[in-house]
Parts: sequence; structure tokens; C-alpha cells
Amino acid sequence: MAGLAVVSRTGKRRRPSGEAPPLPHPLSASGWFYLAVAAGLVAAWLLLYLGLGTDPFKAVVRADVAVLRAIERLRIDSLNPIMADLHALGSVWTVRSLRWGTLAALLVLRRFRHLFVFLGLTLVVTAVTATSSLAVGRMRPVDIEIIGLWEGYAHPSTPVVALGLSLMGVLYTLVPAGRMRNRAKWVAGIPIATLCVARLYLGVDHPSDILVALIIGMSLPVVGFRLLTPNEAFPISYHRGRSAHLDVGGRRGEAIRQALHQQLALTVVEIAPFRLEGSAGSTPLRIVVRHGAEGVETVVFGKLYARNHLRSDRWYKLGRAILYGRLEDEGTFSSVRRLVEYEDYLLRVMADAGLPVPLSYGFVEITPEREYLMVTEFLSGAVDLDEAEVDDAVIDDALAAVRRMWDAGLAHRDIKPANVLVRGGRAILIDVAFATVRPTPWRQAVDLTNMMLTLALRSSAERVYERALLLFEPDDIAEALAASRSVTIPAQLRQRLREDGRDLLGCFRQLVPERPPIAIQLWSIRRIALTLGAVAGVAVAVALLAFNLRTAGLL
Amino acid sequence: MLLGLLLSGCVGPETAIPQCQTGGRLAILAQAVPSASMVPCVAPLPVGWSFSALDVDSGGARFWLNSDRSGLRALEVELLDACDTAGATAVDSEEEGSERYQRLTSLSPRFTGITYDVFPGGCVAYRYELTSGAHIGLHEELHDAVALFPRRVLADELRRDLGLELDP
Repeated sequence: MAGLAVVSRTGKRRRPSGEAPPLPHPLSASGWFYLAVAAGLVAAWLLLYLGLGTDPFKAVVRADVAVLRAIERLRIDSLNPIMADLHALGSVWTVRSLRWGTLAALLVLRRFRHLFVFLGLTLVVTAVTATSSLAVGRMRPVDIEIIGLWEGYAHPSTPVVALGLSLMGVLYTLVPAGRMRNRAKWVAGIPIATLCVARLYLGVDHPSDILVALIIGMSLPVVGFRLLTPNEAFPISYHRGRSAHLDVGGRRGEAIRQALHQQLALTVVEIAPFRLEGSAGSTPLRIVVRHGAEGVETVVFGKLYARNHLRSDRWYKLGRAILYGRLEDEGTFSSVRRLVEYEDYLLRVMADAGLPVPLSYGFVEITPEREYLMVTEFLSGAVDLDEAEVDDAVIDDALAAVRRMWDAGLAHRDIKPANVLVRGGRAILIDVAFATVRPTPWRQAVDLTNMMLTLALRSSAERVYERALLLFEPDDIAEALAASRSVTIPAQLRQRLREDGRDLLGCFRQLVPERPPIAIQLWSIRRIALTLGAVAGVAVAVALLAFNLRTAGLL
Repeated sequence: MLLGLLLSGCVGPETAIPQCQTGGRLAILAQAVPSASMVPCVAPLPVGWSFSALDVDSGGARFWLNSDRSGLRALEVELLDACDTAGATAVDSEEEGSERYQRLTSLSPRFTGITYDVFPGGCVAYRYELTSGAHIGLHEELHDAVALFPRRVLADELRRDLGLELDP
């Protein structure tokens, strides 16, 4: 019984086995519908492709012709030219304008994920259409008079696929989800329906050609967009803000509240994005919570991580490995869970080492393996180093943080003005996701240079060097400066140095004992393989793209 | 599945070969030129020849054959509703019910020219560009590779199989 005295009920609740997580990630009902329709498409293809000449195939042909005969009887001379004009909705120029317009808009909006998904789906759907057309090799309708222009095999109807795909592209890359997209779907349905009616009226397609074309041109893109650009992770919005940031309203907002309540016993009062402009790797949040029996209100800082952040991290590190060589261990994270576990661990290790970092309250699971929320102390009253009064005490404190990291076998690896806050005359390090334990000596040296440059921006090289000598040997500082290059300086710090105009790195180098530069372009088999792979990949992609853009009607 | 077939090489340009037999792949050529009493088709190809591509629409139909000695698309076969044979020389026709005309445009460095098979309601133009030297054999082979198929047979088959008329 003595053990129970120290284990109290905290208000946290363990999620029972089988209960859904705060934000489940199932395919929605309409997603399942489209998937079922896609499965039906495969069955239809099997019927038509493998069953040519069989009784089911003949039944489809006869049914098609019966419908077309009925439509033929409705033809009116005065309507024929109108239908021929409406038929132009499926022309290559209509499709080309829609697709290029969408691509241009996505480029302008810098919505690159949507752009690449749209491009990829265009190529896939075009390949599926061309392959099925070739495989089925169906002739145009017989037993009726064809009064319109046609091109190629009949099945599936290529113009209907092309128009459907193009309009789905517009809907799922440019129109915000919700009421607006639902209305836009009806609007998009008008030209598609008109084209289908025109083609049936002119007798150029069988009804089954159009039906399958609608499934390919609309269902496949919808499923593709939902899987590859889910609205929860890649919302389409025309409000200001970076696209990497997640929408924290709606279902996700509710899920965050539920997760914090169940997993950390915190009752959320308010959630709001916080300093989005300073963060590209996660969605920072200011969260007002109530906790404890008295319901004390306090503010915590949240960092929401999702799979798109993980992918960004992978591409970023791959790019660095190719461009700069393996400056250090730049291994990628295998999952979002690993990423947040790592950041949480680093915060705790740094705190244990006496470093001035925010206190970690742990993290909560929003969607297993997909979304997690890091929760830390909110540094009220803290300001960026850029905006702070930087006196000797702040300089000493910031340099002491680097000294402590050296002694504890740590490196921050992303020291820049935005990651050094000042509160009450004390420097605080934030954003430790890139930090590492037992780094290379070179990396620790670079941390020192970047901290000295960051501090010198708000004072002078001479003053920072003078204070650094209190904590570091001149040779240590000389080594740090010899290890530094443009590529080792974070982008924000490089930009600030450019804006400042002073050659601070040069000033520091004049102050320290002379030392030859340390080589940083470290070639490795991995780097060579990655570079060759990337060059070959780009060459193949460009060739394929050019070929397929022509096939897809974009060129 | 179909994408898989394409990737595995099961579905390629040769899938579209309009072979000299009844079926939709040949009948669509007949639909391209409704007046044509015959349509061109690909017979068993002589060694060294391969099918390149088919392009068919409501105005006509074209397909191309590659030759290992004369290069890609050494022969273009086009089905039209009429041909201008002015200036072409009449030669013996191999196909019953058609007349053949030939117009050579160059003997060297490449053997190039056009042969027309003219029949009721249409004609087939064979445009070739062959390697000089080997051209005599190649010229014979290309006419072995392509034959004319009667529209009537296609229509009869469609009527018998589905009870539908090719030309209502």
C-alpha cells in the first residue's frame, strides 16, 4: 500500500485498446466510394479487355448501341452544329489552357506539393488512359451515323478523361475544401456533363466509354489528391501563412484539445498559431491551458509536427548531403514519432546539462505515427536576440551556453538570431531539433563561430572576442573560425550578416592566431552515389516529363 | 493492372497492329473512311520489319513500319478517301479490285517515293524512304507486309457476331 501513496490519479486517461486516436486518419466515406468505383473500373476493364468476343462483352456493346440509337432518334438538324461546338469542351486547347493555367497558378502561389501531385496524377492518368485504350482497342460506335469528329480508339473516352482530370486538378489544388469546393464541384460538373451529352449525341463514344472515362478522369484524381495532399495536412487557403503550417481549427483543433486533456491533463482554453513566419519545420502554437485541481490558467508553447514536416526535413538533408558533403551525421528521421521523441530527449538532456532551454512537458499523440504535438514552457517576455539589449551579461551567458554544450558533448547546430532568445538579461536557446549528442569536434567549433557572429551583430567582433577569451582558449576560437564557411552559417544568420555590411567573420579572423582553414567538402561514397543518382534522376524525369507532357496534352 | 501490363511490355505499340483479320482493330480503319471498299492491314511482317504506330481519326488512318535496314518509320501507309495520282505511273496491281500507281521522287542517296492503291471509295498511299542498294528487296518486302482487306468481310462479321451494321 505504501507504493500507492506516491502514485496519484492525475486526471490523465489512458486510451483503451481499440479506441480511435484523437485525430484518426481513415479514408472518408466518399474516399471509400471512389475507391470502390475504381475497383469497379478494374472489373469493367477486365470484362472489356479480356472478354472481347464473349457474351458479357457483346451484351455491353448491344446495350451501348441501343442507347445511342435512342439518342440518334432525338437528333434535330438545328441542334447538330450546337452539339459540334459544345464538343470543343474536350478539345486539346481547352484542356491545355486549364492545365497550364492551374500549373501557373500553383507556381505563383508556391504550392509546390499540389503542383507536383497534379503533374504526377496527370501523367499517371494519361498513361492509364493510353494503356487501356491500346489494350481494349475498341472501335467507334456502329449501327448509327457518327456525325462528330473523333480520334483514336473509343474506350475510354479520352477527351472526357482529360477534361475531368483537368477540372479535378483545379478543384483539389486551387479551391479551398468545404462549402466552396462543394459548390465548385457542381460548377465543374456542368462542362463535363455537357461534353458527355455532346459526344453521345454526335455518336462518337459509347455510353460505357464515357462511364469508364468519368471514373478514370475523376475518381483516380480524387483518390490521388486525398491520399497525397490530404486537406488536414495541406489545406488550401488564401490567408497569409506558410504552406508547411497546419490548420489548427476544426477537427484538428478538437483533436489537440482532446489529446492534451487525456495525455497531459491540460484543459485547453485557447489555441492560436504563434510566430509562424519564424518557423518552417513545424507549426508553432501558443496554447492557454488550465491545470491542477484549482484550474490554474497558464500558457504553454506547442510545436505541431506532421509527416509533411518530416518529408521537408528529409529533402533538406538530402540536398545538403549533395551540395556540401556530409559535414556531419545528417541522418534523417524514420517517422514523426522519432522526430518528436528526439527533440523531447534533447531538451531534457540539455536541461540536465544546465543549458538555458525551455522546459519540456513531453509530447502528445494526435494521429499515431503521423502527427504529434511537442509541449514546452512558453517563454513569456522573451525576445529575439535581434530585438534585445545585448550587454556583456547577455554575451557571457550565450557564450557560456556554448561552453556548457562543449563540456556536455552536445552541439545545437542551428545557432542563429531567431534561436537565441533573451529574457531578463539571460540568453535562452530554442529549437533544438537539429541538435546532436557527441557531435564531431568540427561541429562544436562551428557552433561557437555562429554564436560569436550572432552576438557580434548586436555589438562588435572585438567585444565578443574579448568576452569569449574568458571561456575559450585563443586556439579554440581560431579553430572555430577556421571551420566556418558560408555553408556552415544558417541562412538567417547569413542574411543578417549581409544586411549588417560589416565583415564580422574577417574581423574575428584578424583577432585570432592564424590557422589554415579546415576542409569541409568531405566526399564519401554516399555523397557520390547521391549526386550521380540525383543527376540521373533529374535527367530521366525531364525526359519523361517532356514526353508525357506532350502525351498529356500540355505541350 | 493495365499500367502493369504496359510496364511489363505486354501492352505496347504493337498491340495496335491492324492485322489482316476481322475485329475492332481493323474495323476502326474502315470507320475512318466510310466510303473505302478496302482497308490496309498488316500481314505477317517479313524479317527486319516491325510495327511502329497507328494514328486513326475521323478523317483517315495512318500507320508506320520500321525497317532494320532503312530506319524508323521507313514506310508510312495512309488510308484516304481519294488520292491525286497525277504524274504517277500505272503499274501492275497485286490486289484484286484495285489499281496501282507509283511515283518515285529520289533514287539516291535514299530511294524514296509513293505507291497508290486506288479502289472504289478510297485509296491507300504508301510513302517509303529506303536505303539505296538494299531498296529493291525492301520495296518488295513492304508490299508483302501490307495487304488490302475487303470492307465487306468486316461488315459481314459484325453483322453475324453482333447483329450490327458497320455502315447503317
